[in-house]
Amino acid sequence: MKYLKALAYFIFLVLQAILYKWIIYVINLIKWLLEIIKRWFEKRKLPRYLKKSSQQQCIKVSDPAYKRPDPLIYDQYYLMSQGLAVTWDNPDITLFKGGVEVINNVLVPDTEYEIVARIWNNSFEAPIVDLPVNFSFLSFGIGTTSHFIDNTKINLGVKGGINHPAFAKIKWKTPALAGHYCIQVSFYWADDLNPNNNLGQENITVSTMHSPATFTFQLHNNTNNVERYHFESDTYTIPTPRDCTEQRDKKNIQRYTRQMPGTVNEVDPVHSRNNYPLPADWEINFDPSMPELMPDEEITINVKVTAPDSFHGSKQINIHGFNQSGLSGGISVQVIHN
Amino acid sequence: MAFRQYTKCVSAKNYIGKWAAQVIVGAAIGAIPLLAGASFVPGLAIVILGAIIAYCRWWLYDRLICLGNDVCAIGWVVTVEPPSEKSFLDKFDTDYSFSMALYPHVEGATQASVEGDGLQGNLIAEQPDIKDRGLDWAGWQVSQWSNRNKTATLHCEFEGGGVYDLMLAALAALAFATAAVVVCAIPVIGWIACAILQIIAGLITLAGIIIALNDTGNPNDVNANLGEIHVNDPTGRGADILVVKGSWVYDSAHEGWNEIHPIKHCQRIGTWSGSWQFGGGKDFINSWCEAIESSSSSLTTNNQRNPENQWSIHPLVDGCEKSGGEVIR
Repeated sequence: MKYLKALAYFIFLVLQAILYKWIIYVINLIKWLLEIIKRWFEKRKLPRYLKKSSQQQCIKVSDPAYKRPDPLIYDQYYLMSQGLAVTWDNPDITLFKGGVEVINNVLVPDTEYEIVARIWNNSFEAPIVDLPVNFSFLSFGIGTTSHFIDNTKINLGVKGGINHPAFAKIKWKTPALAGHYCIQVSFYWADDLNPNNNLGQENITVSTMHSPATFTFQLHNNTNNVERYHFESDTYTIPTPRDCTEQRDKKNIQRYTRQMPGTVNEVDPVHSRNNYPLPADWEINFDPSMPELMPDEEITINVKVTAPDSFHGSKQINIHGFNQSGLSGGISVQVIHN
Repeated sequence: MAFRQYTKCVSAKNYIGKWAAQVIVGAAIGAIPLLAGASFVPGLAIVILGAIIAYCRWWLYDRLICLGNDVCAIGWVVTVEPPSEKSFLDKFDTDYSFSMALYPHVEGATQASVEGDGLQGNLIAEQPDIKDRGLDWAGWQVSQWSNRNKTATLHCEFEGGGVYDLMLAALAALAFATAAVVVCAIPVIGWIACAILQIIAGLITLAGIIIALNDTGNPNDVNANLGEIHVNDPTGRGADILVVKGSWVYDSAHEGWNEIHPIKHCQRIGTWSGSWQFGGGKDFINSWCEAIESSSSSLTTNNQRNPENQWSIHPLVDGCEKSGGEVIR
């Protein structure tokens, strides 16, 4: 019986194709042919290494069933590389003491804190089980040496799903030596769609204004070359995200064919450093202002912030250190004058 | 959940049988050399195209026998078989295949040892329905190089659209071939029209063949979202460890083994270093399978359409906050 059914269905399909469905099939064939021709032209424009579809130990897979996650944190180095303004007061790294959030990292020596890192996934389809997350601390400054604290593993869900964002938590006992410390959170995944957004840094201090406000930070040359440094400052703080009911400007999310995910084509003015200069009546001085450091050399930079007498309240200033290779780090300072 | 699927598996009960397949395959192979002459013999093209369509339908809708629901598996890649390495008629099979040694097994694991591991071994074991029907059974053991021990593996395939494209082209060409037969009965003008229609049918078939042979990828070929699948280097390290989810089937076109076909979800979760670095046994497998299941649940996919999930840099940079929702900062 099943053979007869199969045969009858086959005849039905053939008749259907002969009578009218052939039009649909011909249209589809033409569309596919055009698609092949279009792809052939697009492939011709690609660099050689991307054209390669097969080699001995490495086969490129383009099937949509192949999914890649993109775990990410507020990564200042990555965001700045895309032309976006950043704050070193990391919104994804929070310290708690006895269950209460510690504001601005005013830490007590030899005391246990809990560090909580919020990790996001820029994938709708690829979750991660047991993503290892590393925590470390470093002296307050730019390029200073990182000291491992601990690591933990988290299960990271997909965008819009459970376990998203995921929170990695560890306990940290601060060093006995009093001082100001920065926190770093980093992670690595075997098949990360964008591995450049995996290092978040929390580098913030508070300085009370005594006309002028002064503070110091360490500058360390963590490269193998002699480097000359200079500093830039701005007053950027992360603006409140727009309400989801507002219309979105599509131009900033436009993606081009060969772009890596997370590439910014045009910086939204609210995240442009150009729009957050230090006010004209403010002044910031670095001493030394353009130091040259040997490999592994570390020095103290003295900073003097002068505000107009009329200033009251608080203002965040971000200081970014650059060497010949680009951004080498930064700090944020909350200047307060009551 | 995006994936490519052209085949449908049948239950063992509804499986027509390999003999039908052999007849159809024989007819289809026999049809190939006749294709060139078909344009000159009215009616012959219909027979040839009919054989091709029947072969394609068997390939797509009868060849694979369902073994159960979708399954999920973790293993390291022992061998890969891209469509570019196939030859002759196999070229129409544009599926991209690989074979993986299942967690927690290493190179040289035997069929019996894997089947009896109490973890994922059942995936490569002969299933009762297959045994009852007396279908071929050999299991699938492979080695990357001829001087290495064979390893019992699970065969997995990403589907290409080659055979499906060929079938649609044959169906479209069939309409023209049939019309040709009809008009051939009319002298002179009919004969000219007949010849033209036969040529069109031939061109459509030719176009179908070109499309079929090229349908090994999709427009994602020129997208940045490309992955790579690696096998071991000569030191026996470097292969990808994958988690794969898809339809669990018995492929009657082979010598007899189970496979995941098509793959509906595949992720690289590590790199093979000669031994397994993951502990956790069943819990480890379940965690992955549940995470993948959850990522494609209707609750998740509905939630993903909401505006607060449309960011692509960071939620605080290009995201938005739902009114009355949780504050991101």
